[in-house]
Amino acid sequence: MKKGFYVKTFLVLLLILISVLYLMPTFKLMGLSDAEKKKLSLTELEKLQANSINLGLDLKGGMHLVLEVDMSKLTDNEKKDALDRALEVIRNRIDQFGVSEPLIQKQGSNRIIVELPGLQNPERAKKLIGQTALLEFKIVREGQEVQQLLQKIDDIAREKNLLVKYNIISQKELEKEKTQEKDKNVSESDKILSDLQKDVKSSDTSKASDTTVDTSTSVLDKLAKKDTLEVNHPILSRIFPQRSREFVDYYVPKSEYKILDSLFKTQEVQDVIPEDVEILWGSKDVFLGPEAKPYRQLYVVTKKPEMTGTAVKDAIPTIGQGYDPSIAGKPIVEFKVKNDYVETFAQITGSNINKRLAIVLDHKVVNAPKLITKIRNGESIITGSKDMDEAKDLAIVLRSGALPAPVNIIEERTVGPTLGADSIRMGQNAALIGVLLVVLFMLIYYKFAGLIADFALSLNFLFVLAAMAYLNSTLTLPGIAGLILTIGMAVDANVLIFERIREEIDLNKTIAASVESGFTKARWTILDSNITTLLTALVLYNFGTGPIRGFAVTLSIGILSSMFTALVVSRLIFDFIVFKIKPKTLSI
Amino acid sequence: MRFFKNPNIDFINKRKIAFAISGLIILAGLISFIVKGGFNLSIDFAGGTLVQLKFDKPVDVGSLRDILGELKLSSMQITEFGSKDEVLIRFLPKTKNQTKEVENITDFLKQKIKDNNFEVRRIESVGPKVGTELKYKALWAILFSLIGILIYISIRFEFRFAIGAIVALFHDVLATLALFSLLDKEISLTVIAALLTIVGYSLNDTIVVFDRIREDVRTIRKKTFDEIINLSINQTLSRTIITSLTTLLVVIALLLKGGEVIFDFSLALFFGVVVGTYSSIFIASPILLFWQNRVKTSKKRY
Repeated sequence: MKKGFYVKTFLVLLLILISVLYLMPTFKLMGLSDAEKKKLSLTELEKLQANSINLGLDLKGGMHLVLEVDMSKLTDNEKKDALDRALEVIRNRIDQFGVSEPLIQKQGSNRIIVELPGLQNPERAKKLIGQTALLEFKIVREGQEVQQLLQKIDDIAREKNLLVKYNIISQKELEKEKTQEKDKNVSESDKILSDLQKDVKSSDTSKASDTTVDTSTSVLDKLAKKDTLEVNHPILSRIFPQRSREFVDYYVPKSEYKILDSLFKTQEVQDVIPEDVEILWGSKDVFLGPEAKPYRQLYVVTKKPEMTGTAVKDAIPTIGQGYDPSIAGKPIVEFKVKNDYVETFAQITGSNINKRLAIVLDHKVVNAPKLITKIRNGESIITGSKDMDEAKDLAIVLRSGALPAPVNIIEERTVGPTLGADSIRMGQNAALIGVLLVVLFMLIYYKFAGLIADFALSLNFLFVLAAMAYLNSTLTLPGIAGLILTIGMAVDANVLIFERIREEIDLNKTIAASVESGFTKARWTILDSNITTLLTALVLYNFGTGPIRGFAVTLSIGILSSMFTALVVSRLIFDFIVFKIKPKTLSI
Repeated sequence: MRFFKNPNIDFINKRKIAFAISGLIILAGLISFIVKGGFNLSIDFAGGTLVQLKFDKPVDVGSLRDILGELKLSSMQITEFGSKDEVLIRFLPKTKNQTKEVENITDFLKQKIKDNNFEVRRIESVGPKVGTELKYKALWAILFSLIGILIYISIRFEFRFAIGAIVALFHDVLATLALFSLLDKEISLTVIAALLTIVGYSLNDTIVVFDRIREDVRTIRKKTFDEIINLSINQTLSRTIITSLTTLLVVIALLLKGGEVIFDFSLALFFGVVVGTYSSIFIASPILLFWQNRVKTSKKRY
């Protein structure tokens, strides 16, 4: 046998195995019907999707928008961060569409690209994105009242089995949790709940001067271990209260936050929430615990805003001066209200001392600083930013209410889900027919050697898809076309080799010699001719957006993989035949 | 099975016929381009809005045109899209708020056509500024890939080969564009993507031939350059035809089964593969010979 044959064969087999493994989630996902997908919970589905080949917007349906920020009415100074403000506003809004993998990106000096895959209601999304920012200031509710509200929601959710009723969690998953729970000590879970209530009570009586930050012994850790509370306490088991200074913050793991959000929107829960109160989410993930897991903060606030963004005069991020240790040298935001609102602001701050004032952008709480004193002159500072970037972001949000720069949609590509599904079906059909034709042709024209080429072809298909799953790249409709096109091109390398071998056989060389020189002579031709195609694919990638990029990706991977399958895999098979079987004639 | 057993066709001698055919197609395309006042550009380049609707039952495009005529949309075009129940509406929005205008259309249609429900399958909208930008981007992309190829071939082969390849590529792009203009097909972003693919594909063919010419020049001493070119084309003929055939098979599958959305893309690929195969035999190599002869005669003068 030729040197290195077994090693190479082993490596190729290994590669095939790895490719199959990488494709498992994709096949699993594709095999599921819509009904079966509905049975899966959000988290299960998301995990499966994250490991699969992504479908482009043109296949799964969705919206691609290019927005231009209209800065014509702004002064040069205001223009500076107008794009950042618009970006912050849009990013904050995208959250509410429930889109799993949104993309929000700056482009150039005044554009923003937004991609929302699998969007159900594009009209609503466009309206929301096009709106000017809504900035409000609301008082945060604290203490017993909040605890009781959450308890009430918990009760109603359990009694009416809302999670299953609204298909937020499947019955199957719930039952799985139930069986787990049997093994555990139920009384312990009740103890933790009473702990939780004690915590809240003690925080109620704690004074503002009490500055102990109690994180290590918080109920959070205990509750985090007790994931079996879910059946008895669908809400409370998902909320982790954390005592910090004089307030209790409520955190929900990011994976659970959509579950609760869907639950809060149900009629039954809305009926329980008092009219003057609403539940809001924090705008950004907070990372807590030793593993720094993402959480979302939950706020209960007074529904009626104390003040809106129109009152904002300016907000400047800066480093604190003076002797006060909570300010000096720390990133702060200087916040000023317009002259007309100085009195209002004084009244708000005066009558809510030691309460928190939530800064709410488009119904998301960006920050909730504590009010310390009555502010009479309309000039205040907001402390507590972790770093300068956070202070900058906060200032951007505050100014977005004051300086709204309208955004216009200058490019839109929306594909409905049914068209996407049709495209997938048609792409699959075309691929199937194309492959079948080529496979048959090769068999007829090259007989046994054609079979080898066909084998290389199917490997090529496998490798391209596996590479795409590995690179987490996106399959688009032109991408499918690219895939189909590489089928036609993939046999090219084999054709080049086979034709060469035939020529050598015609020269009356031995089979071994013919195969050897056929491969050697074809090698550089194959490399040269493919590299130029790669070159154009590269240009295409840089030129195109979305669908065309998908085409460039499949084409490039296809070319690389077809060279590999022809020059390495086909070669191994030929070597095996020539050296092991030693035929007198070659069926080519 | 073999299509060609030791073919011996004098391709070089037929170059004048080939040049005439190519010239004719490109000239016809040019005339069509001038008469029609440019290409039929899609909204990608011309700007505008496109709405694709799918009705429950077949719908008459003519009556739809009459109904929407009341809205007085500027440069409105309504065409059937793939099947009788699917239509494309294209127009130029009058305001910046194209979302509202699309909504106006769908609301209006819902009001007027009550017995035939429809679904909005696709909305594409490109502002005039973006359209112009994309136009330049497309031109740059084509230019860049041509320059890249010129450099690569000059390095891997010689400059005279690069000239032959580039002329063939220009020929392919021009001929495909000519066919699109003659058939009044839209030039869109995906068609440009197809053109770039053709550039890569046709080059693939050309390089296989050139590779063989280079090899034969080294190994065969007794023959003249045009004899060697002829021999090389003949030697690689089977491969050229078979590869083109397999590629055409899949492109035809795409064309027939890939659906309306990528039909133009597939069509451009189809033309491109045919033209590209033809040009690597009939255009690239003769140009190589032409360049060689010109250099020789200019040398003789000294």
